[in-house]
Amino acid sequence: MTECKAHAICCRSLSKSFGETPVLRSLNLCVDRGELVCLLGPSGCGKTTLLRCIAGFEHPGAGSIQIGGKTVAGAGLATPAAPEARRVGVVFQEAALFPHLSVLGNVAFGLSQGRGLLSRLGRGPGRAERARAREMLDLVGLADKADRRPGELSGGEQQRVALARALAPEPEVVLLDEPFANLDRSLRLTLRREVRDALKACGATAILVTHDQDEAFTMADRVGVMLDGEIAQIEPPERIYDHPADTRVASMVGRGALLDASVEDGGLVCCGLGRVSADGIGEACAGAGCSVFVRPEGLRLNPEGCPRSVAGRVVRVEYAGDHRLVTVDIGNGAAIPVKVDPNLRVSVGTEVGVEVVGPVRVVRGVKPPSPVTVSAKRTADAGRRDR
Amino acid sequence: MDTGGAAVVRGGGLGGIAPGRARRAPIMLLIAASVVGVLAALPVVYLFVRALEAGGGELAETLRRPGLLVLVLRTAALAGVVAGASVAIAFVLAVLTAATDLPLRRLSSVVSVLPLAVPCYVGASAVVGLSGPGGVLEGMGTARGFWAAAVVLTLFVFPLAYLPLRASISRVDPRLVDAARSLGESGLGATLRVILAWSWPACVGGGVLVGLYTLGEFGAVTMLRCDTLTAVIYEQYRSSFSRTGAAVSSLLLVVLVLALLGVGGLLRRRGKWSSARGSSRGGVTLRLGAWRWPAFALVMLIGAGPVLLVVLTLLSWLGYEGGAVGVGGGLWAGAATSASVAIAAGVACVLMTAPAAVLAARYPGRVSGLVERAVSTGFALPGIVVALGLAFFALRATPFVYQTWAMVIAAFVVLFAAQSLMALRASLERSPVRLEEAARTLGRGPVGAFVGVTLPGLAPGIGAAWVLVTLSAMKELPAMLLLSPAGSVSLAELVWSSTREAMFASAAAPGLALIGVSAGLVWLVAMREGLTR
Amino acid sequence: MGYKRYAFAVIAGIAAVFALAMHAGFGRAEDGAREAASLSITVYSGRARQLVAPVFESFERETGIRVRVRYGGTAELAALLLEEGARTPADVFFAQDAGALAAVERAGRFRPLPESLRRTVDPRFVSRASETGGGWVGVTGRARAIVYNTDLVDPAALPQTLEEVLGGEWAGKVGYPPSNASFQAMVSAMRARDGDEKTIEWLRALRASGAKTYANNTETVRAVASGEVAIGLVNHYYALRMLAETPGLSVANFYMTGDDAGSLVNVSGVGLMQRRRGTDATRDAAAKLAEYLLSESAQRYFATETFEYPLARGVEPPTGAPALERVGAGTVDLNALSDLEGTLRLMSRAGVLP
Ligand SMILES: Nc1ncnc2c1ncn2[C@@H]1O[C@H](COP(=O)(O)OP(=O)(O)O)[C@@H](O)[C@H]1O
Ligand SMILES: [Mg+2]
Repeated sequence: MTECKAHAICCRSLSKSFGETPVLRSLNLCVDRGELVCLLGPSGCGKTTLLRCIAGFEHPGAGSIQIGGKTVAGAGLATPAAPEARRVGVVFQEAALFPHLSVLGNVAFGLSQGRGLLSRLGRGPGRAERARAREMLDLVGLADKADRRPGELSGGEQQRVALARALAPEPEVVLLDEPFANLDRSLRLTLRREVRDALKACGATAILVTHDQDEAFTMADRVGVMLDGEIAQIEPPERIYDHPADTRVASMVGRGALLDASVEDGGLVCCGLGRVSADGIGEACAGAGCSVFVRPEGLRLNPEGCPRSVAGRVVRVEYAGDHRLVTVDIGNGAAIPVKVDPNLRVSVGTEVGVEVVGPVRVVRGVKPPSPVTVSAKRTADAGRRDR
Repeated sequence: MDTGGAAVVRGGGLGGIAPGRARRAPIMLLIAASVVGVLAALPVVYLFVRALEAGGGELAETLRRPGLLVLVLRTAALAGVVAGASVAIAFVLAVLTAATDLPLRRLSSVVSVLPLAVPCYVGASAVVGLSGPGGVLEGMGTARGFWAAAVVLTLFVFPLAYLPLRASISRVDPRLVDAARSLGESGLGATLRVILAWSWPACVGGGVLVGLYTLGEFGAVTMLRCDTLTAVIYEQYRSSFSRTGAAVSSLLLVVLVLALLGVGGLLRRRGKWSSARGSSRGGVTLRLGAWRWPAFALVMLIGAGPVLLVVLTLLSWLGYEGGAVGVGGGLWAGAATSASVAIAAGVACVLMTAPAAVLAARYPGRVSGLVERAVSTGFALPGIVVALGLAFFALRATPFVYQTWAMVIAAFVVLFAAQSLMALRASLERSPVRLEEAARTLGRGPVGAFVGVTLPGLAPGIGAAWVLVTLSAMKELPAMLLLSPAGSVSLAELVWSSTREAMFASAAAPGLALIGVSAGLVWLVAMREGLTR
Repeated sequence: MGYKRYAFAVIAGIAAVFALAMHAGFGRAEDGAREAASLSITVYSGRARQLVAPVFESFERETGIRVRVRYGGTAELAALLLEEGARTPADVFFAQDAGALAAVERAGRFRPLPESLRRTVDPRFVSRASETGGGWVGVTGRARAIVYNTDLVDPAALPQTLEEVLGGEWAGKVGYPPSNASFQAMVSAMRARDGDEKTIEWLRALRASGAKTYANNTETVRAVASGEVAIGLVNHYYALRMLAETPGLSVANFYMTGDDAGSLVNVSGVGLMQRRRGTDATRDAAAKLAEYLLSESAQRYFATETFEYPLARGVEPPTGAPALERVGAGTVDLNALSDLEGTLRLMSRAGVLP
């Protein structure tokens, strides 16, 4: 495991079950120093459990965790290291600020570990600790709120204090568990930027967990798609979007059509959209049957009966400001999303043709169960269980 | 009961409930809430009447009594020591049973409340017996004096602090502890820096309650030869024909009560919780590791140890020769009387304090503050003072209730309303105003909203209040002796009259019955409080 | 879910009310109409149920008069009687000590006693006021005694007077219960005989001698039995009772015969209450009860079961106790024992009480 010395954090073959239910299945994850990894996954896939294992609040059933090159769990370690011995900062979905301390007191909480317990209990932060805490508050832009109580802050401010608190002791890695889930959308957008800037300004290594694809894509250096207790794919956001590793990732991330196809000669596949050329046939296809995937922007809407088009009927039209998304039923129950100019007026029921203009990719794995059309739902209910 | 102290101490806004402050309390509620306050204030009025009967000279002489200052200081010190020690023990047990992976948590929680089943005077007489000739503690010198009283009282009343602390700690947001640990704090450090801070209001509230109890304790302190103000008040009543001295001492006790409430208020203010929003889901679980079983043993030792010692002592008394004199059938009658009066007192207390609790939780203000103070004073006044005070008024105003059970129940309301108010109020403060508001928007009136939404959530609080009062009433002695209808028998009286004549053999059976019935009630309180969850 | 809990509370409440109603049936203090049917009187008993209940029961059996007893501490009951005044529901006060009786007497709460009753008892144990107005009469005698540890002390060397208790050889070896009513009665007697000055000197000397204090007589006797102290200043019957319960304890009584308060005989006594709502029938019944307490059978009961001195003439003292005539030398006018407050103040000035 020497190679892990280079990583700030390294999880190998991590497994964890609650009772009979496996939650993490032999999961591997390594994060470089200074890197910001976003883990994207549906609710219940084990994201929180993974972070809790890393932080030391849960103990993995098998596998090992190394933080800053030091093994903290597994790999022959008799007992996992205690959370306080791991140098890990945590930011929770609810800020979980100490209500009995001021903002400054909260940020300075983790700075007094050099002192004895009695001194920590009895006395407030010392001069150096205050200075460091103010520095951190500066970083998150809350220097003027140092003396407030947590209850007197807005939700966004509370999260920024929580981040400052987690960063203050210069942890090896910061874990953020859906830190923006409780905030409204506009606040979420600004906070994403601010949090990323703050993390980068300290050169902190961070793992941020989210079920929001935009959040993961805008913030991450690398995005890890987590499904059923495993990391299905971990790569820069563009790669995830353009080259989903398998059907599950494809259906998780962004929208698109996932169709059964059969491989033909000359780099062609035959699917519901006709005979089209496709990437990645060799890697992903075993035998004749496979799945192909195409993004809405890789399709064009033509008038009915156009050549090279597949005929279908418009079943839904969604307006999104900068584009319109038209869903076309091409038969066999396959409904295909097509991205069109926002000014193009189409109405439901119109007979149209669909033409492939962009790349079609063959993806690994079986076709997910219905519906055939995959839409990365903005799972509004995703974070609810965590509340 | 996390805001246990709230019943007796004002202070520290509860952020989420602030809207209540702006509104004005309905007049009917004010009146209903004042009833229990007025009732609880009657003994104090009586004390003033009796104290003012004396001329200024007599008053001055009573106050100049040599040793009075020492006496007052000793009383205050005893209350402080017992309160502090009780809170410390209660905190340890509450953390262990509510926030760790202690084995057999269900059992441990019940055991932690068990000492409430033992009346302090029985505990004290067992200790006296044990340290006397032939007792197991014989070699350890006689258990007497300040420290003996402090230890015995602490061992048997700490559950009064444990109950609110347990409720408070089980609602600590586990993420706060996680956050502290990820910031480098050890389990012990997190316990002290986060859990203690979180449960601080409950610590203060529990401490104040224990302190008040200690101020009014009579049986154990006299048996253990620790003279407190209350012991001296009894002494002075024995010098029968002048009740002035006793009245003046009792008023001094009232001053101590107010001082204690003041200290409680100050301490409470130190823990400035701007919003003590509890977590509604699973609480903190600290891992004890190798300490699991030693910690379990500690809980058993503290909770069950003294109780077991007392029960064994009583059992050994059963074997004394010279057998039970004249108790026999009285035991069943006594058990029936004690239980039914105590149960009725519990119901009466809950009914009478409910409006005061609503007032205190929803419309805190001057009236609720006064009611709380009156009720706290009632809790700390010696039973004889309350009994004589109520007799004084009843004979003049309502002679038809004099020497009926109604008198006894009124006395129990005065004596124990503080516990009921505390439990109800804490429970109310936990039940969010928002729910009531939601119900209002759905077309319910204020009463309808309260009955439909708040009351169901209040059930555990009501249960806890009822059981606490019932338990105290079972054990109460002086008011029962003086106010019950002549010819009645109670368990407490049987125990007391036997021990005072050193007829330990005949004290054993009623003593065991009292502990048995009380232990049943403790089990109930454990259930009501959700301790076994 | 929540409603189950209510159901429980409601059932409990109903059960309690029902039980109370049943109690009230025979528990209520008085009810003029019912009284005619079956005569009943109310007794405030400062004496413990275990000691006197059998006597009341046999009285009920013999006379058909119901006796409703409120048991309590003598002093508390006296305080209650004084608080109640003429509104009291009590017909009879049976007290453990003469001081409380005297206090109630001084407040004018007692009715005059029948002449025959007063004559049954040695005049030393009858309140003087009982001749002229309301007063009380003694029922049993409780002699002061020195209890000593038979292993540690040679009976011949025991002090004969209270003064000798202060002697150097007893320094640190004496136990006494300063908050006990009987001890205080002895101090009151001392004051009455020798004056406050001498009394306070004696108390101070006792304290200075290193004498140990205990909560009550029983405690003191226990301490003597365990050898913690060699002798104790107590009432005579505690050692007798404890020996009856645990034979073989190394304690015995010694009765001082000196002419001082050390040989005081205090009494438990009975008085008939002035009661606004009393009737002739209840008054008669109350007097009958007092007479019964001084009847031979009741007196013999006290001698054999509670080890007290029977005060009615002609009844044998408890076994192991000398004749009443021999021990009562220090007995003063028991009415003088009523200044308990003065005594307490004196004791606290001497530092033996807080
Ligand atoms: N303490 C626990 N006990 C039992 N099951 C748990 C516990 N914590 C989480 N789980 C289960 O593990 C799965 C993953 O949970 P979690 O890691 O919280 O998911 P996520 O954070 O990705 O939404 C869920 O099915 C959840 O029910
Ligand atoms: Mg989660």
